Amino acid sequence: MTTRYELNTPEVIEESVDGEVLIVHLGTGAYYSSDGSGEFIWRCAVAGLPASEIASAAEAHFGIAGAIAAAAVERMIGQYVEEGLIRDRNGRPAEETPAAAAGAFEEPVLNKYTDMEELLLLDPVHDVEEAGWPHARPDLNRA
Amino acid sequence: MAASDQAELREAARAQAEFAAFNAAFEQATATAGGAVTDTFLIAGKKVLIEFAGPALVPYLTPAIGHLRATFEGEPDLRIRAWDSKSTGVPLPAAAGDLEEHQQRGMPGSWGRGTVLSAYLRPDPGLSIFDFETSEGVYWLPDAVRTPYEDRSGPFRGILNWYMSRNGRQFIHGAAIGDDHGDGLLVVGKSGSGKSTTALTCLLAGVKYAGDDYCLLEPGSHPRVHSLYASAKLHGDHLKRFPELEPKLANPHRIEIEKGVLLLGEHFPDRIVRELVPRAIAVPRVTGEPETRVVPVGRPRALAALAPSSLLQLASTREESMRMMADLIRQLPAYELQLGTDLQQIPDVIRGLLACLADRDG
Repeated sequence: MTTRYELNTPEVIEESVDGEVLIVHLGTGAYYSSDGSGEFIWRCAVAGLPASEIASAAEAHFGIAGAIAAAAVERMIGQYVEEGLIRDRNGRPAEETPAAAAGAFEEPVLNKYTDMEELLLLDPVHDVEEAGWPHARPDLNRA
Repeated sequence: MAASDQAELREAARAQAEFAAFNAAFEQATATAGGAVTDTFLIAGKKVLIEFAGPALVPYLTPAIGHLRATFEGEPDLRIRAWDSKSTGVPLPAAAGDLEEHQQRGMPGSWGRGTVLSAYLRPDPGLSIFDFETSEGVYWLPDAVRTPYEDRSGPFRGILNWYMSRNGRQFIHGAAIGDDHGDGLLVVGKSGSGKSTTALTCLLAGVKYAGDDYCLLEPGSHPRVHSLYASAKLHGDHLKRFPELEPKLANPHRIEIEKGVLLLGEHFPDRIVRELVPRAIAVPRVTGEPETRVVPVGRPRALAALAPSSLLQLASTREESMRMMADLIRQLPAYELQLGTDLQQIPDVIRGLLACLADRDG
């Protein structure tokens, strides 16, 4: 609950538009979206707030019970870590947390999309001729 | 000096040596081919000089950007050198580095060494090396005659992306079509989402065309979308939908093993434009219904359609790229383009949307 995190750059990049964050993991090809309370927790996490402070901020921001906020934050941070989206800040100070628009609390969700992973799948052992020519697998050869 | 800094310096020196070896091989290839063939282009406002080691690669790597050919005064902003081993008899030197290492370095999440970036197999089929301090890149293919369709339809993507992303332009995976006044619609989405079908249907109906796969975004308070490749890659379904295009393919004898390449600048020169002012973003969706419609959609959906497919196709992707795309999305209205089965409706719907946007924007 005391670990401070930061964005796992340069492999992970992210931007928020209209209250929804889009996160792209350049190493795996997966990308993610999260809005509402999920975007709020994400912003706090990459700014370097520890889970306990994020939970307190969520409790105040959404007017919810502390136990609900703590459980939601713990679950989301667990997912961010598991997906390799954030890493330990190693003592770097936290950044200022951006202001977030007020809204009703809904259970945060991290949506994961894997439909672009094939863009990273060219295999040099099986897909290249001796002379150096590449051959994308036939199942990748579409528009 | 920390050990990690020393290691970085060593890697940077090794990368410079690989670049030098690669460049020396180009010079040798040029000499054996009887001299260089040069061509000049104005790409998204940047002066680009391409030097080929002999004539072999020219007919394969220049037609897709032929609509951007231009003469200019002074030094180029970007210099690209291209050669192939088969026509010149010069093999890829071992000192140019290990191909599998170059491939790993060309992945979107990896990074260059010092000022040198390299990539192999993706985004281009050949080997690309680029030094962003000198804005010089070298590209190699094994055999010009067997240039793959990806190179013919979109040459030098790696080098152009590396240079442009450091000079105020951003590669985007999207189609750009527009009206006679220069107003445009950016159609974004992953491969197979309907971008090319939309762009081709519109092109054939006389709508202006800046690209159907890749374009260059010039961000800012008045963003512009620049044409890059006037080419289309057609798979079997496309050829069924547009049978009139099959006789125009540049690689008709290879469409059993690769996509057909249609060089639009050669066949529809009056419909190709160098740039458009984007007025909206459209995210296509094939519905299976007869009618084509446009309906407003949230900007996050548009960013999700644009950014991952753009970023993951490129090499050594930069954080700034995502920011530039998000800034564009924040500036424009977004629509879902619900593509119907009656393709003839698509150009009229696009024209109608552009007319509405022009009225709205005054």
